[in-house]
Amino acid sequence: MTAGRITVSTERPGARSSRRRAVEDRAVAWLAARRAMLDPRGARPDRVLFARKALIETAFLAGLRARLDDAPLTGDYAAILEQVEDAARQPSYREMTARDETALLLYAGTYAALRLCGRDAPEFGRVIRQAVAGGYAAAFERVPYRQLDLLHTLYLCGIEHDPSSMDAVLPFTLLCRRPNVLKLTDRDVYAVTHTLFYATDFGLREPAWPSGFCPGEGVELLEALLVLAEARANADLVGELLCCLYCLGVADSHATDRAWSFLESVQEDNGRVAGPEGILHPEAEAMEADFRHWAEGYHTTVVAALAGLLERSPRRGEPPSPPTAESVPLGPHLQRAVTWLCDASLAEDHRAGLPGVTAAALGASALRERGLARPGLAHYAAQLADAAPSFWQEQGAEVAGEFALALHQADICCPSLDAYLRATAEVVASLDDVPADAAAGVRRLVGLGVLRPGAAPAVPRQAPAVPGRAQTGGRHAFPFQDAVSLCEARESYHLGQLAATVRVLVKGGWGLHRITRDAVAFLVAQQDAEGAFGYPASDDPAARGKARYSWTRSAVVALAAAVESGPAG
Amino acid sequence: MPCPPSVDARKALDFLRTSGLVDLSVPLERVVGQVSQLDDVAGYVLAWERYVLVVANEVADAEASTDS
Repeated sequence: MTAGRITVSTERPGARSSRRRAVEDRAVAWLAARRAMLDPRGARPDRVLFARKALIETAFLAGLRARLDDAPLTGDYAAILEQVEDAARQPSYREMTARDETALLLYAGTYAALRLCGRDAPEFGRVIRQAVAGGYAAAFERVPYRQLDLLHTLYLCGIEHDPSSMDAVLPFTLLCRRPNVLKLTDRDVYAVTHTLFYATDFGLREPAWPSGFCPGEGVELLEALLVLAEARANADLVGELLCCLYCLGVADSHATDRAWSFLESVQEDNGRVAGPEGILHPEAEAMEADFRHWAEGYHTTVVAALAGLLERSPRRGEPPSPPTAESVPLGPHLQRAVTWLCDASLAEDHRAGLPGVTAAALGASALRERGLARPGLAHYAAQLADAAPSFWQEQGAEVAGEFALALHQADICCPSLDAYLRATAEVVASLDDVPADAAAGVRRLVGLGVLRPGAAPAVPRQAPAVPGRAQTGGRHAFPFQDAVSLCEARESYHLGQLAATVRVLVKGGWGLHRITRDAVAFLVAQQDAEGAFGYPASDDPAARGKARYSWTRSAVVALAAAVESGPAG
Repeated sequence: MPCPPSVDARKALDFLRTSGLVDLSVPLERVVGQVSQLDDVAGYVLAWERYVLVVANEVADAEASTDS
């Protein structure tokens, strides 16, 4: 599913703030009107835990409201707090803390929220301290972000006094290990967002980041993940990632504007913000409509309200400096691949060999080492000297045109190709106009010198690529379709699709964007010791050979574009 | 001097439209299909549903059966 078109606002900051405040107010109103759903006592037995989870998350929203805004809790926030306090004072809830040790955080978070709201419940706190000291609830091994959750919750409960204990966990988190954005599942993204919530104490503290990690890198990661979340219309992740940008001190950016526009566009009139498809267990299909409607929306609605709360919070640090984009040298990878591809193409029949050697020539040209492809070019020029027109017709303008260009630069002649291109140019010159999808081919004929610019029919203009425009201050959105295509290609190991998309992005000026850089990094990591691309994971020699040849040809074309467009080569 | 090849307008436009440097065929789909199943066991990041709630649910189930 792809999100609809979003218009990024250019209105006055005051009006913008009012609209975002309205998102928060409507979201809190919707939650407050359904606060009875948070009470585990009223839930069916198989939904008690769901209610407890919703209770702590909504309670936490009220706690953060008390913490981030000095004004007294009133209205809908106060109504939610009353509901939380009422549920939490029941023995059926409170005393579970002593028995349900693996779920300590479910209960301790509620206590922390009450405490933040100035409604300390000493007996509840005492039970939590007992559980914490009991040698299991706070001791069993947790994944790093859940360990941060524990430490943060204990801090807010007044049990752990030094929040810096969280900093020792940060080096083990996904956030700080420079993840490749194309590989992250939704679950991984929640690990990133929750790490930031806890480690920054929702924007109120500056962690001691591990060496080698700068918060600007975190911002870059969040912005890349926002593109993917919005492209998949996942309002829950868009909301969480937006909150994280605030936690890192980013208050006003193109990414925050886009995220807000998206949230505003999906919020329903009554304030509800629906979660993504599949947010509930498949068994939820059998639930009654009212419960499902609430269960599918409450979390995303809490997150949208939290975004509004963080947006208007004055207690925010300075935005971090942008990271220095690391530059992976692509030249050596491309050179090894070109050499491998040239050799391999000589063993192919001419139908598969020609595109291979042409791709190799393109790579060699990008490297300014045209000699690398010369043996292959000479071989195929001789092989195809008398090729039938149908052969060139089948190869198409891109392969035939690039091959012709490479031959020209190498001062090698292929008579059948020259004749075919001249004949095609004559036909094109006789046309009144050409369709847009053939324009690139016409420009190619002009570039090869077989069609005079004056003789070419009206050709639709080519949108100029502006290298770097996308990543620096420009207000263009990363193309959603390409972002999703890269993820799908990575997941299905479709290296051809990945390479094709990288090439399009690089040519469109998106080569320095984190998503494109991670796609290139993934591609480069598929190069084997011989210089070929892709790991077929097959024992069949023929299948292996076919796959490696195909993938290497595609990877060389993509890397050639990347080397030509940027400093990475 | 060979005769110039015969190219009509439709063929010329087809030729101009055709790109093929990048190979978009999908070799080895079967192997890829095997790999994708790994997600089921790669749960190093355990969400509430699979870590806290599932365990807690057992407690609730036990409690419910005790009550009844």
